[in-house]
Amino acid sequence: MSALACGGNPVMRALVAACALFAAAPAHSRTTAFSPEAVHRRALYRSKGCYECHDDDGQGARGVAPAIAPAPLGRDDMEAYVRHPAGVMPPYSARLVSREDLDAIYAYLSSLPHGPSAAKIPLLARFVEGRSAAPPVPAGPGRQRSTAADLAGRQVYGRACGACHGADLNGGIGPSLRTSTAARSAAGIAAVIHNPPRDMPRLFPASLSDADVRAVATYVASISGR
Amino acid sequence: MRSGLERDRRDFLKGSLLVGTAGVAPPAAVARAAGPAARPPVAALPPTQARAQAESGPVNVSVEDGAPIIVNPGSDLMVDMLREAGVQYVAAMPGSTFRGLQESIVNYGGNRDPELITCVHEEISAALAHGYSKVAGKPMACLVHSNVGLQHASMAIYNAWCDRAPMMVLAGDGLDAATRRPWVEWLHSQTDLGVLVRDFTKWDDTPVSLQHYAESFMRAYEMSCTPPCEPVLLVVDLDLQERSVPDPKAIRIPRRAPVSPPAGEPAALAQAAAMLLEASRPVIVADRAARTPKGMALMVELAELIKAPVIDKGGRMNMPTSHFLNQSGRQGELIKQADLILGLELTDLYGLVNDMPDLPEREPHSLVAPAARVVAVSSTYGYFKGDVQDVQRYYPADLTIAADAEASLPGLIDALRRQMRPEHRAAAAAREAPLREAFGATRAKAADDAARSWDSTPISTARLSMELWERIRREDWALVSNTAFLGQWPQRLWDITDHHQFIGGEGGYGVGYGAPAAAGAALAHRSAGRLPVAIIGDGDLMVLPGSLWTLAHHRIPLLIMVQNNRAWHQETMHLQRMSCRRNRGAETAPTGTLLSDPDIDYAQVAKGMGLWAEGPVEDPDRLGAVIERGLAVVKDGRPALIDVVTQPR
Repeated sequence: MSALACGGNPVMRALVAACALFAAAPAHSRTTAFSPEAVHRRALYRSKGCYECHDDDGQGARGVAPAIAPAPLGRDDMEAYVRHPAGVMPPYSARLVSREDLDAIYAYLSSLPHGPSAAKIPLLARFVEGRSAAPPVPAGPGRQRSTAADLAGRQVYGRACGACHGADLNGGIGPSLRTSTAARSAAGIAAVIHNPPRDMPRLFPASLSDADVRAVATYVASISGR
Repeated sequence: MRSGLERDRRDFLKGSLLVGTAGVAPPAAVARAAGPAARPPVAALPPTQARAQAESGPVNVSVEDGAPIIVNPGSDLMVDMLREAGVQYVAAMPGSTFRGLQESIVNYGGNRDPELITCVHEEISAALAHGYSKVAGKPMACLVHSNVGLQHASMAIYNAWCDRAPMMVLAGDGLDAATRRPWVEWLHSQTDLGVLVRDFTKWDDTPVSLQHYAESFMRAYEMSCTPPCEPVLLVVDLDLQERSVPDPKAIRIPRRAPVSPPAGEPAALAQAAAMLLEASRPVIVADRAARTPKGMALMVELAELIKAPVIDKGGRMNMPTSHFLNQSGRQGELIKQADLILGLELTDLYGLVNDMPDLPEREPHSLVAPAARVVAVSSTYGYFKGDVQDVQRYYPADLTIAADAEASLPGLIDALRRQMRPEHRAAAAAREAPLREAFGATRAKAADDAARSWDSTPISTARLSMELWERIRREDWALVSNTAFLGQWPQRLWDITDHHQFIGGEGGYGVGYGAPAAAGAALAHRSAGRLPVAIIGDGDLMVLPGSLWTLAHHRIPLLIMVQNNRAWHQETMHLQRMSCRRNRGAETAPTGTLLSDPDIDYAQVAKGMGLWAEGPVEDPDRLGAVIERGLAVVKDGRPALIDVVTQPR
């Protein structure tokens, strides 16, 4: 529909302008394909307003919304949260964003590249020099390490927790897990996951199984030294 | 005469200054000229009119080459008062109610100290004065044309009020109804001008004699400069400006008498020190604590003494961003864990320790541990108004000190030193290593966050901020704009080490502050030879784009980077919330909130006003070179603007 066809109707003019803005190429980054499907997915991400808070590339904005790309939550986890968000995110019913729309938006988020690391950007490198990107797995005397258990915990963490608590557990939208959980045992951390505070998504039991909760709680507890 | 009345308020009326011209000369002057037997008509003025008339003589007191002239107009003395107070600049959009004072500034004062700064809107005049004061550490004046000019300026005056910034607002007015010419002069007069802004100025007065004006002027100046610093209003009567003063020396202009700011009472500071030393997890939160560079040095001394993390809320530059005790990025967890919070000149203590998410039920919940104690120090506890609500929601601190934070810090530090014992020093020392680690980790995380979307188009706000930083960090730079909608990247990744390098924001969050306040701040930086830069949102710029002309006209060096995200995104999010909660769809949220169709070409706008400008820049790899070109212009003493198409936040 052209702007001319809208006549003087301001709502229609705005919708047309918004659709043109939302669907516009060029792509957001150097590595994103320009296929019609990709353009459609990006346009949906924008027309549904996701970019307003999570920004154009899903990178999030401080004090506003967490990073959601590349797709840190599972597809079903994302839908569960979108329908019943915690915090100030407005709810999106199936009427507002269908399952098919969510499939497309999830595919868009999953397609976004992680981008260059800070270490490789001259303007940012000095802040990360000498710091490991991956959180350490401490091994102290008397602590039995199980490589498989740690890996499982890390995987659950990366999938379900890192977007808000940071890839290195140092926090973001959510608090740092290196300090805020320092006084909690694995059982205490699991209890928080089972009964989250108001701003934290309820991921158990829809997204996280009992085993997932035990694994990630043990992992986080080991990082914070308990 | 009728042709003069038909023109707008700023037309200059010729031939109206001669004695005997009907309806212009004060009746008393006419009476004196006619002889002692004539009875002057009743003047519609307050009782002290007699004094006013005794101060001034007839309108014409001298004749030169046959032409009557006015010597020693009252407005010349008003310039003397501006000089006595040290006011270097007066911002104004011209108006006939202060034509006398404007002429005196230019011809009697030589347009220097004070210099007239021409603005195209009174809100620009006042916002410019707001920005200036935060860099100069003293107020400048803005002249406004009676009620219409004051109404225009009132938004910026409110911002300055909320931001605790000093400002001298001088409003012309024709007080004597008997000397007001018909029509426009009546539309532009008001009996009580102060009522328009009384709820957000510290003091206002309407002097009716020059001696009254002199004393009120000096009182107003000192009150404006005394914490809590605030705007003040002085009405400048047209007749006081334009009448001759037979003996100017008879008007006594009071000297400056600076008022010592209120400092905390020693016993209260001692109690605060004891509470800080008892705490295991003390947190210092500062908003407008550091009024001066000395304040920032005191903040560092305090924090280092007890190794307490500092959360800088950004009302002023309180704590260097490169100092490991600046833990602003960890506010959430620090407040949650704190057992003692020291709040210094906070805007909103309630909002610091409570959250009320924007949800339909609007339920507050506490962010602090139940046993956490709060000490609050602010000069506003001794002074605030009942109508405007910038006072925020009430929160009863455990210890409340009505005093200026900066003036109180020396006493607090002394009290801490006196009370500190070895175990306190050991506890403080134990906090250092974890805080250093946390500082490094927070900055590393900020760098990781900045790396996301680094190469994207539209350009990320992180990329914009860091490209600018790379090109100013070796200069004597200053950031003269707010960062709240910029992801606070300067606070997260720049090394802001000096007080003058950041001046906070609007105060009242009134849109339109950005460009004129940056212009005023840049004006103050000019005398120090600094390199001011500003990152201003497109919506904010469009409120008062005429600020750009003032920058060009007065050759004020400043680099403005427009954060052009083509919408009022904050409001778009609000509309999104409404439509989703009502299950009506998010696609229409941009209706009424987009700044596109057409896309505004800010570079063209700026060029049209006389600035060097480039843009729109959409390729992040081009940014660096464009910034370098812009900075070269600024270093040459001229303003420059770069339009950068960015992501929302």
